[in-house]
Amino acid sequence: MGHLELRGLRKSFGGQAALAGLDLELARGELVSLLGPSGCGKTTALRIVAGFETADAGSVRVDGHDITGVPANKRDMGMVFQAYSLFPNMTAAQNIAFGRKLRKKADRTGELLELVGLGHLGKRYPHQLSGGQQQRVALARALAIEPRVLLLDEPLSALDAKVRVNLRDEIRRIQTELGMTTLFVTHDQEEALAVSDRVGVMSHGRLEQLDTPSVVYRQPASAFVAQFVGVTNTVLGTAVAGGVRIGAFRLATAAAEGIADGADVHVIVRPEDIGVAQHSGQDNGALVGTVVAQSFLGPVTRLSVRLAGGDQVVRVDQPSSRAGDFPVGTAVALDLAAARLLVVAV
Amino acid sequence: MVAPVANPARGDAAPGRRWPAWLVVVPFLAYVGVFLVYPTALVLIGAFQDANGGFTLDNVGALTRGVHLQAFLRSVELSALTALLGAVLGALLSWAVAAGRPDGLPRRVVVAGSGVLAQFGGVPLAFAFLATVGFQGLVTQVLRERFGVDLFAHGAWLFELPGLTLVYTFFQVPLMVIVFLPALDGLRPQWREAVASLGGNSWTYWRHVGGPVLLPAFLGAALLLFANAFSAYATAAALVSQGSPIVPLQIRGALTGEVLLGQENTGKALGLGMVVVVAVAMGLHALLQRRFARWR
Amino acid sequence: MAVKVVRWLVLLAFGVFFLLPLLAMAEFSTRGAGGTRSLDSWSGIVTDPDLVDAILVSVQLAVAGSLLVLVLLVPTMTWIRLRLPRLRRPVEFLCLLPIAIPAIVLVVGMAPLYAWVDYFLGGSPLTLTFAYAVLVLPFAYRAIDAGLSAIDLKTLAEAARGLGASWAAVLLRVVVPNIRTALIGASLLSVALVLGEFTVASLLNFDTLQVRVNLLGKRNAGVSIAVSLLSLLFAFALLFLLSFVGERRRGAAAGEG
Ligand SMILES: Nc1ncnc2c1ncn2[C@@H]1O[C@H](COP(=O)(O)OP(=O)(O)OP(=O)(O)O)[C@@H](O)[C@H]1O
Ligand SMILES: [Mg+2]
Repeated sequence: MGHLELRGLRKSFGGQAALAGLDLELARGELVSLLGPSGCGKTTALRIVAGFETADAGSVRVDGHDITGVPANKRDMGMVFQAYSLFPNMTAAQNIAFGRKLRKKADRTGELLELVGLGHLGKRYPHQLSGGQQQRVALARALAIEPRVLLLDEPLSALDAKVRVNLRDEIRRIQTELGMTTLFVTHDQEEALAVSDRVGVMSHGRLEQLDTPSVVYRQPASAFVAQFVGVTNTVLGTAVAGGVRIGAFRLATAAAEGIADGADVHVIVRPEDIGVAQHSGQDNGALVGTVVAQSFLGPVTRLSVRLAGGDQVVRVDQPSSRAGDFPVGTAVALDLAAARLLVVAV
Repeated sequence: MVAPVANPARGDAAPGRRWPAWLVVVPFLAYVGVFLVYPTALVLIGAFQDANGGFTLDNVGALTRGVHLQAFLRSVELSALTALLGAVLGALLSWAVAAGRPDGLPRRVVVAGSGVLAQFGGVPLAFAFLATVGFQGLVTQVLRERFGVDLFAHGAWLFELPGLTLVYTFFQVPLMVIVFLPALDGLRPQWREAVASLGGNSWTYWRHVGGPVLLPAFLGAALLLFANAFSAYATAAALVSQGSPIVPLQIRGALTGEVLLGQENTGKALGLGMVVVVAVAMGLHALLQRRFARWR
Repeated sequence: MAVKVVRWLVLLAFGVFFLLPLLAMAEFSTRGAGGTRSLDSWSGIVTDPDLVDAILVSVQLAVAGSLLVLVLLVPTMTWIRLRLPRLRRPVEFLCLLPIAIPAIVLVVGMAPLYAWVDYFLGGSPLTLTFAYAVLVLPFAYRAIDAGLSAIDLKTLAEAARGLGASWAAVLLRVVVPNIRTALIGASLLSVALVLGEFTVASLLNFDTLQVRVNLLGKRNAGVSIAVSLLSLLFAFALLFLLSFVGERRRGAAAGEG
């Protein structure tokens, strides 16, 4: 039994379905991210758990107890909003103290300020804090009530890149330290992969895949997941017996099993899974093309390779130290032998 | 901000323009100088002048005695009372409007109606109340004929301070809606939700967050209402034709009536007094407004 | 749900408070002799030549006043944002000054001034335009200021200058079209204010709509009340219109974002 369970949640706004049967289970102390494009229902799911929104159908359980009908202020959920949620008339310390005061619990503000690294800023008002500092205070305020579950709705999306990375690592550290069951909503896949125990990828109000970051990345359950998480190539081909054909190139793979021969397919493959070698020129049945652009990304350099006999462009990552071997204009052969492929009918 | 490359005082170096940059604002400054600054200065300076233009404190001194002092006290009382009534009732109405949809009909009607009554009011409002609770007014008649109640049993109250209080409230409430509604809209839904997730209820929210956040805006608006009622003239002028119970009507008397020797500049001193009172209220209003803006 | 009930009760109570006088005006202005209904008061509006004149004067003043204030403010405020930012605070102060100086005080200072205006320009009531432009200054300033803040004036002007536009062309073909809704808002507000103005006109002895209504009330309350109701409804229509103008601007901004 999970610590937090969402079962068959449905919700629509004026006929438009925001959630179309969402099931999710979080173990105690686990951090699960809900990842998905804008409008897929992440916030709606979180707000139903928090009690700000009522589901049309389905239930929310904590430790096996159905809390679907419990009002928001009796749920003991710590909530961190996207931005501007601090009470403007209270200092950072007063914001943090607020929840414990309502519960008549002993004050722990100093300790919480230390926890989020703001020991010296307790007397400041929200408008005197930076965006990152405000979100730290918001986190401390949510944690102060010792919530059963921590809910974070894109808490980092209003911050700049550097602060965002720092704070997300910090959130993860604190969450692990406290063993806090956490539901983290984001549309930033890198963020989700970096901090989560498991990632749930959502689309159109339901989960497409729920698994550890590495499985979601390496074994995407669907084309949608593959394309939403990380960088992928989507190459048009045709299903043939025992594999797929891309132009003149035949690739033997089990990934195309079950697709009728002759059907158009998309071959989905990550840039870093493709091997590349200079092409001698003779036709040996390899997937060949020409380097048309290079972009330097730090440790790797991404080559754009236009496939021979068409205008499809495939992106291939090479260690930057080797990129000099493939200047623009080089004829190359691509090696998909070791690549994890996903083949889907178009 | 990036400073313009060319020296603004010397003007643009672009070919074809040989005139200095400040020339453009001259018509505006000249106009405002003649029709705003000059008349204002005339009042403020005239308040300290005798009939021959010499310096005197007599005019201003007269404000601290007798009918003038009473008029000021009455004006302050009327303005404070209607500002308080207007602020409380207006805040209530603002809340009822803000709780609905931002593009809903109730809101649209209330906002437009408030604009009319708050800023356009004046003489038509006086007649609106004559038609309602005047000697021949609808309510007066209905009460007299159906219920045997005489609204005027205790005198012609509509044409005295109680009447002014009623009619002023009628335009103070809408003004409150106009200035307070944006403040209510500035309350973020996250605050309410944050309070709920921390275990508080609606009362906790208003007591600890909503109320304190709105307080400066509320007080600021009340001061604005005070200044508004204090400055108002048209409604009172149309309603009260005998006597000059409040300052604006005394100024009317000074402008239109026969002026006693040695009191030529009493009107200006009364004007100065009004400006001082209004300026104090507006200054405090601006202070509070700034405080609220910081919180948004 | 209890909140919802309270909300509608509040709206209802205020609705009665504010509509009752309007209803009473409608009732009063349709009274005939001996308890009958008649529209004499309403037809009296058009059959009283003095009243018709006063209405015409007020309408002309409304148009002239809002034009004058726009002509004064738009070039000045644009220019100050572009080239004289140091003047922004002082000009704002001047424009908002009429809020702190009640009209009844201003008129004390204007009385001697209008002796001169009378001497130079004659005693036409249209000279009130000058005073009215001052009275609507704060409202027009705020509307135009909001309009100018909503556009990237500097970039627009630089782009137009870069394409060879004269300053006049920048103002008329770039700035004005881009702050059009703000200008409409400022004008509607000015029109409403001028049509309702009484203080200055009455104390400078000009015959405008409100002055005439007030005068008429002394002998024929019915007509005064009819005109009052009419002018309140007209102002309401103007401001109701204004609420849609603001809407369109917000909608357009959202569409661009
Ligand atoms: N209060 C509401 N009224 C009407 N529609 C709503 C409301 N809240 C959400 N929706 C709709 O429900 C759908 C899901 O919204 P939700 O806010 O859950 O998306 P999201 O995944 O959080 O997106 P984002 O990444 O943009 O925050 C959207 O189509 C949205 O327009
Ligand atoms: Mg969202």
